[in-house]
Amino acid sequence: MLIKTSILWYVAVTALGMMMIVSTVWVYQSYLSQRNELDLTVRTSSWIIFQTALEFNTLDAAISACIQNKICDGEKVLLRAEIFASRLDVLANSSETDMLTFIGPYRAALNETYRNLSAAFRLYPSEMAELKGGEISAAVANEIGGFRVTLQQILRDATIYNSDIEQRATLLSTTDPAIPFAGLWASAVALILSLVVQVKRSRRVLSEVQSLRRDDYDRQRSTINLLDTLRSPIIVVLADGTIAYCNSAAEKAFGVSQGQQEPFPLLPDLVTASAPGGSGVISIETLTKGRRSFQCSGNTFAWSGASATLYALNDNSLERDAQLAAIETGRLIVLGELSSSIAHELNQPLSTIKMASLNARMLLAKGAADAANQKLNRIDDQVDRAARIISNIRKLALPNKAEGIFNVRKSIDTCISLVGQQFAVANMRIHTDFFCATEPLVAGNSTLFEVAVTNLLLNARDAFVGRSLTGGDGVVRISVECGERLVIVVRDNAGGIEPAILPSLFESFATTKLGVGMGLGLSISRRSIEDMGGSLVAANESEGAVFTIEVPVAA
Amino acid sequence: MIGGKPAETVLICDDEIDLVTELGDLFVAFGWGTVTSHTYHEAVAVLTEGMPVSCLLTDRAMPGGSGDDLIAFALSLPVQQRPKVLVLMTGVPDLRANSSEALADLIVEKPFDPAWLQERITHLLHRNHRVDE
Repeated sequence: MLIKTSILWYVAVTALGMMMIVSTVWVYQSYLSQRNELDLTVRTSSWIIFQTALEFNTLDAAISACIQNKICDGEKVLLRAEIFASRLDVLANSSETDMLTFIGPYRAALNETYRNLSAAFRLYPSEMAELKGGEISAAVANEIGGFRVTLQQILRDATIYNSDIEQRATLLSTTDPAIPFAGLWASAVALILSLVVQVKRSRRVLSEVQSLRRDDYDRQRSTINLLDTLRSPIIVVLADGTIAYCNSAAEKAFGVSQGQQEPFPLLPDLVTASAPGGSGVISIETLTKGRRSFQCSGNTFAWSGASATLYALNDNSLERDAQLAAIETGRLIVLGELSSSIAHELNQPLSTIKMASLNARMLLAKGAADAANQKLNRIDDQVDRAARIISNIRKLALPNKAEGIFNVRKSIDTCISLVGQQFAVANMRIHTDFFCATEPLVAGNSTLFEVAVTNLLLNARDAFVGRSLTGGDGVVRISVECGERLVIVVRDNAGGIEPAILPSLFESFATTKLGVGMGLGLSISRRSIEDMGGSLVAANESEGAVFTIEVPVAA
Repeated sequence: MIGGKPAETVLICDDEIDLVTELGDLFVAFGWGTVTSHTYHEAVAVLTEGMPVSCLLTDRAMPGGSGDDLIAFALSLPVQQRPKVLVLMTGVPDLRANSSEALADLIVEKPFDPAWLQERITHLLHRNHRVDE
């Protein structure tokens, strides 16, 4: 279609150019023809006027001769008068004198004289025969008497007119029109050539565009063919939410179809998961395999000229299950590390309860009810204390897969309470600083976050104890800053991490605690934080190690 | 805190205030004199002052200094100032810690039976007296 249009355009431009050239030549020839005709007309009209004047003078001379000499030929006068009348008719009504504008005002007088002379001729021969030459001359002279003045005026105007025409003709004859016409013609040719060149260029560009479109179409077809063979669900969504394309895996898994325009229920979750800072993981109830976990990514691109987003979903349920199992393992490891601390924490109130109950029995045996009551109150307090400890432990001990929004401040308090006894024994302290105008809320699994932070605290404790850094100087500082992302920095003064281990610190089985840990804690902690869409990095400072957690703030 | 006029005195050291109070009351009820402290340094001060202490009963995990450190300090004292029986209390079962490796005469795990402990301490006290004689 575009090629046909281009050819038609090319033909039209060429025809237009040819028409311009032909027209130019035509105009030039017309100019020359009209100039010649003008010249001829002027000459002709001048000739007619001259002939009229000549006949008038001849007639006037014939009449004068008749009147003065008394000898005249009346027939001759009539002949001259007839010739003169014919000149008047030509002068007044012929096509040669139509263009002589100055004749117009005299046309009525010319015609009247002509009519009068013609009337005089009609007397002949019957009446004329009765008249003498002098009488005929007098009659004719009477008819043309006023014409002399008119003729003089016509001759004067003709002289002026002819002079003007002569000047124009001279000017035209001295100006050669060939040069401007040649310039015009050359311009036309140049215009045609430029148009032809432009048309050729346009055709070439058009051809390239068409080639690119064909390539684009081929690529799109190839892409679709490739996507159709993939087992991972692929969905292309236009800006208005219409599904421009979905492969068979997506159709089977989610029941979507190409061209579907009704609201796509998964779309908001896809947009959130694949957005920068999103978790990239989405859990979807599929039609074929139940609830599955998908690694989701979204890329915006042009689809058939329209802006669209391609969502690729990779079923990572097995990997996800393995990750969750690893995180669960990490949770159990941390729980194991805390077990001695937990036992100690619980044994303290139990010991007090046991002794207070024995004291109470002895006091009751003595009848000291008030004193015994005090012991029972103490038992009550210790039972409450044990319940609080168990409550904190349960948060960590029971698998909690539910995700939601939680308060980081409360989670950190829980972590501190869990390791509090171990830190006290190690003669270490924990300082917390919160630089947040509002409560620091994040989205994710609070248990896994607490496992990660607790693991960092236990590592700091182990580093401090492992280097025999006793003497009351062990300090862990936890600072929380709220911004676009929540930044939690855990900084200790235990001397730092071995530089050789630092690059692989978060790899599984990397440990600085030979014979103590398995080296899974930090690896699992990082996975837990990354699962929240965050990051966990480590560095050394002058006094010790710094672990920085960054997580998105909950909307 | 000192009890009436008992034959023997026990120095109880634990950072758990309620536990120290209850244990002290029990030992008083058993006829002991009691001195209580809540930190390593308080206990060291008591021992250094030369107060006659027959038994040192200390928690193992304490801030500022452990029970092991306290027992080691007690053993470093002159024999006259040194408690005859050294007992370590722990809330954490630790297989590595036993009385032979530790310097204590006895290690007890919390929670324990105070009457049983008092009997064990009395037994150890008599044994150690005989050894001294």
